[in-house]
Amino acid sequence: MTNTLIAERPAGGPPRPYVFPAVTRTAVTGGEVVAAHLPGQRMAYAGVLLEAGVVREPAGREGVGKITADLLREGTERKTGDEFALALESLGASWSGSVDADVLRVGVQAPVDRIAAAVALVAEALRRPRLAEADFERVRQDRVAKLTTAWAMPGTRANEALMRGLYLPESRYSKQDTGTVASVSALTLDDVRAFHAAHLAAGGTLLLAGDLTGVDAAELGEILLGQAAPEPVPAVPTAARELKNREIVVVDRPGSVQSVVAIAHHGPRRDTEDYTAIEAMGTILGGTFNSRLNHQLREVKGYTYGARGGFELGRDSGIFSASASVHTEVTAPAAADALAEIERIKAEGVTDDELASTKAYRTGSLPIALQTPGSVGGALAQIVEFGLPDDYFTRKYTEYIKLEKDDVDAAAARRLFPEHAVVVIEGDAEKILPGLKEAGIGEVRVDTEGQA
Amino acid sequence: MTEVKSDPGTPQAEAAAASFPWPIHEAVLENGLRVVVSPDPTTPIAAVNLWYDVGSRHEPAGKHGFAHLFEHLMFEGSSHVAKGEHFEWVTAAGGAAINATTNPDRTNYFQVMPSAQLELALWLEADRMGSLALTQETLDNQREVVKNERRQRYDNPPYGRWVEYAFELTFPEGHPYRHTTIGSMEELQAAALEDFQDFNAVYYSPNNAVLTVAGDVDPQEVVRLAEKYFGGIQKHGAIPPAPDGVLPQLKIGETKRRVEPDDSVPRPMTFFMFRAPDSRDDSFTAIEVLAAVLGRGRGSRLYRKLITEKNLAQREEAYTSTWGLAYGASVFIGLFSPRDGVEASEVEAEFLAVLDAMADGSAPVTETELGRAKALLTSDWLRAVGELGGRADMLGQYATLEGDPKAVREYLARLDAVTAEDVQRLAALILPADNRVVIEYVKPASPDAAEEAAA
Repeated sequence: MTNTLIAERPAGGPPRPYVFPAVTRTAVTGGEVVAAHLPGQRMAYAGVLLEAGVVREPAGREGVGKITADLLREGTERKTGDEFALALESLGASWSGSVDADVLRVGVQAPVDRIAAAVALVAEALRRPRLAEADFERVRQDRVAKLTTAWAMPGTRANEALMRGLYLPESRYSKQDTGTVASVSALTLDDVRAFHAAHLAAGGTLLLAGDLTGVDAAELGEILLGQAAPEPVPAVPTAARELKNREIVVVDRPGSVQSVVAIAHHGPRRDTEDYTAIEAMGTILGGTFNSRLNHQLREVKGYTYGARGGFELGRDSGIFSASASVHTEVTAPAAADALAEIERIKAEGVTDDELASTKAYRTGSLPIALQTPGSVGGALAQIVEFGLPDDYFTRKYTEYIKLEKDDVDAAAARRLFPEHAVVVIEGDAEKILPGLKEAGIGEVRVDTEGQA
Repeated sequence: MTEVKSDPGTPQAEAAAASFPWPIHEAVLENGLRVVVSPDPTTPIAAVNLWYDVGSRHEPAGKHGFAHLFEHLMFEGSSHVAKGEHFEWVTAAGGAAINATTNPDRTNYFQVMPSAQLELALWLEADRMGSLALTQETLDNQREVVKNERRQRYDNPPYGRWVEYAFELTFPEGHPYRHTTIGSMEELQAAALEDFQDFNAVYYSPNNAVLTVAGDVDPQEVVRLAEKYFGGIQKHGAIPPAPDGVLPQLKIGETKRRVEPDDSVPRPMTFFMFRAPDSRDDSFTAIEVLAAVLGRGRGSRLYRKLITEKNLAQREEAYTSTWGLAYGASVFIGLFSPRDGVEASEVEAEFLAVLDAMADGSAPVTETELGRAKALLTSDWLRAVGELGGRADMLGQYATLEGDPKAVREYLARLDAVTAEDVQRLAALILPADNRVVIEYVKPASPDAAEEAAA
């Protein structure tokens, strides 16, 4: 049996250019509506972005933002939690809430013919929540239990140790966005009420994405945004820990059959002028299946199911991180290999092929990633959070086309610091410590600070 | 020239309630490859998806996990594509969302391309269908990757093996759904190259696959390209029948329980599994509604009873759901974790009381509950077909499992037709005590265990 196959790889044509959906901005009393029209899309997203990120949380009250967002679903002045859920779900709407360092976002996805009704429910929950003691107590206990569960999962302890390695103890960034068992256990309903009054009660930006034919954006804005919020005060500075020599930090997870290897150091802020070059370099190093980290650790060595790395840049603080879950026996060589890949790209830069491929990937995959109302809503959130131009995602196309090898090599040389990195290894300490000490990849210490 | 059958679909204006308003074109190549095309020029991209009608249910005893390991080997090179180049060429052409998955019933391979690069994806898929390179080196490497996948997903995380435990109790010895897709470490270790050569020769044949393209494409052109790239692949002959999944009776026959004492779990957790009619059965949509009424979302019965009213369990978005399996039986699943200081047995009694009240008709499904469940499932559907990757996969699914991609147009009407009586009838069939598997993770009896874990 012989198959006749075409030997020559098809070259393909130039892409039909992608244009991000037209963004319209409508000023209303309480803020602004930022809307993207997606013709033919029968689901819609509506969300409110508020200046209520975790940097706004008082010291010792870490996690209050997330709890407050959770509690919004537990009833309003007019509806019990059960009644509210029934009303929302009967629209086919799904609720989402997220919080990062800088902003808090709550929203819904619903069929577009029901989005106005869903927005009215979000408004009721956000501006006039019930915030009752019994509900708070249940939600808080639940969050504590979730944090305890998460702590038992692979990777959580590594992540916590990484944040302690990167930031000083007084920095909000040194703790998880969801808070700790201690901080969440200590929360009271008054903390939630105070956080709500200060950051969620007024203002914000309404994000809309979907087929908005027949949707009155201004009217939805009036329903949701109400009165304007006072001008936010500047957030407390980051308080990064200065990194000198590379540290190998071991976090014990007894009985673990894999180790989580996580490497991190500081990065620039989101508004850095070389953002696109950094993103391209991060993609080549650890952003795709064919990235150097995944290729070496998974495809060449078979150490892991997957290795990734890249930059996450916020308004005031950025980090580079790379991670993989590896078989316990190969922990030390996997960490050494990952570090070697970071050193190599820093010293030697990228190849022409890698750059060409990454440019095509980043431009080509943009419209693929931005097909749904939820993902376009996320893109609008980035535009608002970081003050990007409305046509940012269309411009990104052009920026990538203009990107040159020198730009990306410079980003690798300037933005990667494997010699100063914090390398956290979470695994069965008894099994992995001897190998790590012998590996000679840096001073090894054991972090026992972590607790559920 | 291959004949193309076209079904125009509903015009957008009338499509408010339609499951699938886009046109569907079908063709069959001489070698048996079925081609499905659904054009939509909204965005300059195209999803390319292949369903092979082979999954872990086809694996004989001693070779569990091989269908999934084979899926990995499909990325390791073919006559004109070197190891790893599938990902490389797709990403270099601006493609994304590239992956493959294996489940008990089937294996799917997919990517979304800029539409100007459609041909590249077809070339890559054809090359590996027609000339997969199976070498000892790539087998050894991917075996390690899969063993790490097993560790990462099943062995290392708390509760990671509950599905394996549950399948073993839910399905009888020798049943094709009794084992999980990931397989066992020992059998993966023992896998020989010939196993995969045989697997390829039997199942990876054009007449055992459906190629679906959805997006910014012309159907005639897609069929012409399918002929160009796949037309030279010979069919391997008749596909042997899959192991029989038909069960002598739907029900398990009793309540089976496994108690799993486990120090490493953060808290006790109880899982349920019930046998249910398979996903091709007319009643399957009513089973999805049942799962949503009982245990999906903040407004579901289980949430309102266990959390709001009695405060007995941890909050979850879903307490019950369905896993559609196509041949013989599906499974309906449930889970809860008791709140600190509450006995699992107390929660289990309340949990089962909610199920029993539905099954015995003492608490019939209300119109509000029915409307809520249908609204949630409608949104799921609109979300799934609202992006091209999901749309192509759905067409491949209907073409493979139902034999007709156009059956994709019927979903919302089927959902709409589900009545409260249907839901209660299915509850009475699936949920009673003679059809239950219970997997109970318990912390070993030490009163201070919780505090120790937290210390």
